[in-house]
Amino acid sequence: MAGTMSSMAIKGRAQSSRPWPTPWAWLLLPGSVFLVVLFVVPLTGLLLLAFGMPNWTLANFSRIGDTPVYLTVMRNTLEISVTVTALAFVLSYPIAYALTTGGMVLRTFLLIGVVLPYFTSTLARTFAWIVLLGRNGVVNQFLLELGWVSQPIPLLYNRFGVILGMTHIVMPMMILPMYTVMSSIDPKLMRAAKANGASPLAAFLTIFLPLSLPGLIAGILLVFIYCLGFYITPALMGGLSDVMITMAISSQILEQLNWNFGAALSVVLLLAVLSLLWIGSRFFPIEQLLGFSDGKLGLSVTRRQLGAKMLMRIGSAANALDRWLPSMRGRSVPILASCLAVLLLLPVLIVAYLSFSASSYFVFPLPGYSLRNYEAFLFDTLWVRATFTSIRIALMAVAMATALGAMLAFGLSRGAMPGRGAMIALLLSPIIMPTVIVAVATYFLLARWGLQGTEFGLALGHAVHAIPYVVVIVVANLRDLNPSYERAARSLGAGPWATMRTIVAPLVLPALIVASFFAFLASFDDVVYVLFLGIGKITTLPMRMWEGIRQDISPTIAAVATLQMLFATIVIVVGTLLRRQKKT
Amino acid sequence: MTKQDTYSFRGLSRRSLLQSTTMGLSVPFVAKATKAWADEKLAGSGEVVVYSYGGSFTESVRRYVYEPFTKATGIRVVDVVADFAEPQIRAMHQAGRVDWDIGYLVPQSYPAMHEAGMFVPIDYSLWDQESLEGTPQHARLEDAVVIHQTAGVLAYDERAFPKGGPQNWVDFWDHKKFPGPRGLEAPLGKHTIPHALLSTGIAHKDVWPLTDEKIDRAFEKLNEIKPHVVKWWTAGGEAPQLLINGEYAMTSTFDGRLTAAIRGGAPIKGIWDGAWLTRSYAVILKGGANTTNAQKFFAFLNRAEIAAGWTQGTGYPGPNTNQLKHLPAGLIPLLSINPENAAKIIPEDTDWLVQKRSDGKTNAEHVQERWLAWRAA
Repeated sequence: MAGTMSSMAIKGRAQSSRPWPTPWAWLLLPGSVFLVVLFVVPLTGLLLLAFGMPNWTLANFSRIGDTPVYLTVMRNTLEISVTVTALAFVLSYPIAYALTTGGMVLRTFLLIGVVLPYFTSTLARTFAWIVLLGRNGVVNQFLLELGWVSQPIPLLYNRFGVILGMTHIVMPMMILPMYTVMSSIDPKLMRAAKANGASPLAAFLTIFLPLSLPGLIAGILLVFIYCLGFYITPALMGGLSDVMITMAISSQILEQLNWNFGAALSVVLLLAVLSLLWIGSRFFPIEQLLGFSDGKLGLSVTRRQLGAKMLMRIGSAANALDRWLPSMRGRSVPILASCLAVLLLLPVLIVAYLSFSASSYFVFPLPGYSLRNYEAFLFDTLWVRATFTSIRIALMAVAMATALGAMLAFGLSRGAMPGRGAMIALLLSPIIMPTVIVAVATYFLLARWGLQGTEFGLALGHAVHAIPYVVVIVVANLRDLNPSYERAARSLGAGPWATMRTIVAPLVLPALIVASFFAFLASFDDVVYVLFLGIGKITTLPMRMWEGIRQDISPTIAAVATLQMLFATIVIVVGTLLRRQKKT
Repeated sequence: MTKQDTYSFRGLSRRSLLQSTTMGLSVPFVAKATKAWADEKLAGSGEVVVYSYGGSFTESVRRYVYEPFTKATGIRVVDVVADFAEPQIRAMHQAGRVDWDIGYLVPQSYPAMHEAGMFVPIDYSLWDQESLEGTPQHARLEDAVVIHQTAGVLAYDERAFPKGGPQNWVDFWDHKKFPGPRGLEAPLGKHTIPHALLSTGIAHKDVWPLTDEKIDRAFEKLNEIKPHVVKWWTAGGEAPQLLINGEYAMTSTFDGRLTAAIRGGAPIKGIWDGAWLTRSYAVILKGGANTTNAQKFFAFLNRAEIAAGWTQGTGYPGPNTNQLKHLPAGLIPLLSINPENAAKIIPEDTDWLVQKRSDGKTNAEHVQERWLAWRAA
């Protein structure tokens, strides 16, 4: 087997004038089969409803054209998603940079600050925002006290509130892919640049920033697509006009029961997003920046020369500029990052505070302290059972998504396949499509196999949803995995397994960990797949919490969120300590 | 502690089940439930898979209805929980694998699903005479029964209006006489548009149907009040929560959420004048595994004292008016089946909502699309 593969590899290299699949392309097979069976086939079946199957018609599309509101909603969605992505990017870069360059204490603190907001339940977090930004909130009280304003300013329930609430949640998705890429940049390169006369700013702009690009692109891509699917946070923190397209599609599927029209809206959404990404890829070569080695050698050489010239110009300009900048002795970034992390943690700390409430409502400040919310969680078999169900399903989904996603990433990155653009579009589609559409489609497939209402069936659905995250994060990190390392190892007598263990695994491991983390959260956070694939019989933790939003106003969810955050903190701290032990 | 008992009994034998009833003193109807099974015409075995909305709703229903049902009949109740039952009922029907026995629907979804033959006719011969008499004819369809009714009432913070608060929707719009931040519902146009119409002083009987002219008038009034609405609420739990926090002085809210907040001690008052009302249906799904048990469940559920338990637990009353005799006196003023409140309510015109227009959309779809266009603009 290995023999045929290496002979094929030689053949592949010999014809490198034209892209030709290398044996790596075989790695695409399992993941592709998985996605075709569990995603493409069922989804196509559902999307054909948009065309009225079996009574073919375009009426649903002309209804979208005739009713300007759907285009308004689509524009709203894109506006909000672009703004959140841009804001998250600007705020995330310094944090990711400080994570990479900072010491252990700073790194642990920043990681906690970034990751914890993800674990607060939507309702508890929204209430924390009310405490901070509401009419009678802390910020408004403060401004009134200082006499800066004469009456409370509306900070919530408008576009500002939506953008703030969403940015708060998407930050880890931006920061962690950047961080994994940044931490694989060799710090010696920066030192070399400085030794050759580059100012810190010039060294950063010409060396660090370009090398961190794959991480930036991966983060931006994931955050942008993730934003499209938001609808609970905009509904709870936004104004009347902040309607997102996912809200409109969900309403068609769940309330109006007009699946044909819901499918038509989804088709338009998918086409809009894919063409946006395609246009984007004309200006920013997304594929290349994500780290795919490109077959078009000639083109990339000239481009590289142009790029190098540009970098040199940027470098000299930065050198000139640097003299005028006040020096903070390299402390400015860590300080800025820490301030941002504190801001991210504020609502989280309020959630933790509220969890000790003695009242049966969310009230601030607390009328008295008690542990009743923790008792309500820990002594309720339903809550505890839901927690374990969630963990079991998430672990199954993580195993499948990480294995298949990593293989897909290697295959894409090394396989030199023709039609890679189409493959990427396919891989991103599961997270571009509104989850409710994918969930209904997957239900019909699982029902045919009798897997509806089983934890394994639900994990299959979650794995489809998690694979895109894994692929994008791993691909962004593969650029630095130079195949010549592996060839060197092989030529020194290492077998394929030893090469994998000693060269590939250690270099890809951080990316795999982050990828699994997102795969875990993609499953652990879901409240839509579980409804359809679980047919109401499976109750997961986020579903219990979501019921809380619809039915109760109980602060028990604050206690659940606090316990989740505590768990995440322990994982981060223990992880850091283990890493340090290994190094010493 | 009751919860633990509730959820652990699935594995118990019948004998220990009967013993455990003495522990469940917090549950009413104990005396009735422990009667010998032989008297019970609904006795059976096995299980029945029943949909509900989850959270405190399901917990209450389990305590007030499922437990007594199991004790009386020996039939276990298996919960299935979702936000909406209709899309799943439709999906199960299409897939040919119906895993539930009982589902609940909003009335708008009923006609199409009924025509598609998704439901089993209700066996009213199992019902007690009292249940049939107490349940109005319009609540007993061939293959559906009203399960509960939801109303959208005006609620205000008593702390904000010490000299007396708003009494109707005209007052709600009068921000000079009753100053303070307002709340209104964002998701469904058919809920908020009638409230806006009422602010013009229109007679209750003239609210429905929601013609385009009336919708235009409602939007004018909504544009007027918009600057005073601090938050258009989405989830049912939001409205009472924001009243309690002082973010709202007055708002529309679901009656069940309001009742729960008032019973929890919140200083809120509800106004029934001009409230909207929707009746949700319960159905038995064709193809379900336990149809006979489902028929028995319906007959049991609509007995007056059980219906009273349902109302006590959920705050959303079922149709049997005989339940009023079994309800605590303090709760009755908070309920939409209280005759005094019922007289002030405007039930939505479901027949009109489900009618198709000339462009192929239903009136419900049209109203909702106009609502979406107004709010997104």
